[in-house]
Amino acid sequence: MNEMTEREAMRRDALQEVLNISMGQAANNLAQLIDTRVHLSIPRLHWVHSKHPEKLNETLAVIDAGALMRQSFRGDLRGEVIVSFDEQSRHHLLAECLGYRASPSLAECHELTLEITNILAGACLKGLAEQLEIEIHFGPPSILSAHSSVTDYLSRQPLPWTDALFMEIRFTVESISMGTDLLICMPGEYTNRIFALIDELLGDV
Amino acid sequence: MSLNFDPVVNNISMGVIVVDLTCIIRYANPFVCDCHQAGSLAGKSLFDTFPELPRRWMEKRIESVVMLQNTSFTSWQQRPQLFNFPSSRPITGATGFMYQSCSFFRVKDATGQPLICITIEDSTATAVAHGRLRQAAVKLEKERRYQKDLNKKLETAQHQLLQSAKLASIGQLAAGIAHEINNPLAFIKPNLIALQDAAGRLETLFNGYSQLIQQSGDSRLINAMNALNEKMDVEVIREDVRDTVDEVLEGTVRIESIVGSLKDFSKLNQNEHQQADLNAGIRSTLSIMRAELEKAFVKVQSDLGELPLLNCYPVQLNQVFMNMITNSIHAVTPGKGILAIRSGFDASKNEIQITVADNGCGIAPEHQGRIFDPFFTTREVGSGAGLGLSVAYGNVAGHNGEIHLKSAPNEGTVFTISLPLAGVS
Repeated sequence: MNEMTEREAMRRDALQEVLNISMGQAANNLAQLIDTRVHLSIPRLHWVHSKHPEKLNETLAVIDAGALMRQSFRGDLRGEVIVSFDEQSRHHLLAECLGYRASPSLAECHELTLEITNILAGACLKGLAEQLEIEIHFGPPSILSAHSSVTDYLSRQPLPWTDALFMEIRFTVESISMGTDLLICMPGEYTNRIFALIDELLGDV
Repeated sequence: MSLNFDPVVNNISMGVIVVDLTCIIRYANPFVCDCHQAGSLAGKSLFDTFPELPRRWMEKRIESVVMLQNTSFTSWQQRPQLFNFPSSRPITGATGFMYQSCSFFRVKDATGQPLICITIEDSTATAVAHGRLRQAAVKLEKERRYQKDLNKKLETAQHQLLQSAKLASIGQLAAGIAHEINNPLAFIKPNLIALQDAAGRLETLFNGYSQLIQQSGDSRLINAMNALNEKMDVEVIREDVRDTVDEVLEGTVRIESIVGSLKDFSKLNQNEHQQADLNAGIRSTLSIMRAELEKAFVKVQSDLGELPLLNCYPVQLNQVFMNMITNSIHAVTPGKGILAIRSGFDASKNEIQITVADNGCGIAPEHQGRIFDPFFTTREVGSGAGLGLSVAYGNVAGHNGEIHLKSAPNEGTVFTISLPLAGVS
């Protein structure tokens, strides 16, 4: 029993470490693209049961409502990325960096938010894919809700999974007061693959 | 096994363009060439071939895809038309252009040089269906609001109706009671007057007998009379009989007055409009509510000016006065309340104006827009249905009149009722 728990803890630590390295690379790529410093929090892992998604509030770093985006990924890993933009987030100030007018229209603002979601999700998961030497592909991002918190949104939906792994990374770009919370979410049945890959890494060690 | 994928790319119902990092087209599949209505596009500049493309935005997208090695997307919802392609539904579609959802990703040529592949998905069918759904949703929402308004109107009408029915019952009950009280009153009052007269005569007779006995000089008789008078407490009896009869008679006159007010208040032909004196209605309402006003120690100041007769439903307007007075009774501080009722005729506007003012707690600004709404009340749950002012509003509106409100918290409330002399039609 202790051996199992110890193994689980090692797996968790290893995944945490892989995420740390991946996110560091993601932050560098992003900073290069938008030409400003990007700060990423240390990734945190949460197991969520579909009957109690509200319990996420106890562990998530950011629980306030904001604009919610999502994007699916497939390949060696499968799941969805949820990005929550803070209510006061001024990410639209990135418009010019990404080839938009300084004052984008509403549709352009939406497109810009979706593209930032795509860039953040891509940066994080590509970093993870490189570390684990796997392939990941993305579907187009879409808007989940113009104003909701992750837990509120999940609590309102019938959820097709029993438990899921949520990996939380907080992005901040201080120069433009941009704050977003990114959650890489994988249903429990799809996490076997990531832990198998982690086991391989641990085996190497 | 080696497969040739050219037929796939040539036949797929999706545009595929491959450009190098300087945006020179290296390949465009037949879908793109058909939409552009040109021959081969290979070797041409992407921006010269498609001048509608937002160049800076496109270059940034390509830069991002190269740098992050990710796939970038556009959706028809935010950017309906990246390329100037004609609609794939020229007959049944809603617009002349093709809705597109595009993606950008990095590929490599045979020598390993990075290239950018752009795919263009025709989203016209989805967009058209989405547009129709949205139109249907807007229409449904409009109908839902209309239904909601209609339900509210129906609810209000139903309550007005209920209130009218209640009024009719109260009117009938009041008229019945008035009739039943009037019957015994018809003989009580004349009998009391006769009794008062008889008591007066008996007193005169008694005085006469006393005087005769005194004048007789018969000391034995005089002493016997005085002893009897003292024993029977005659002086007190004489005073009591006089006062009692006077008080009972006064009470009877008050009963008669209340019954008269009840009859005035509940004039039974309430389903027919008639020429009525509103001052009489105000007086009878005040008379009926005297007990309530006294219980709350409310001082009443009435200043009723001369009014022309109004073609109206008197019971309905009496109900208005009653509801306003009830509202004031609840608003004032017991013992300090003042209720001022004034009436007058404004010849310039050809309308009767009645004001009901009190020095009560007033109505908060945020409540002033809602006090005439059915079921709106600031009183405790169970102590008021919130229908009084709503019914008053409905009754005045039924006479083509208006109620205006002026109120401030802790400074009292003034309701001004304006009733055009044209009255009800």
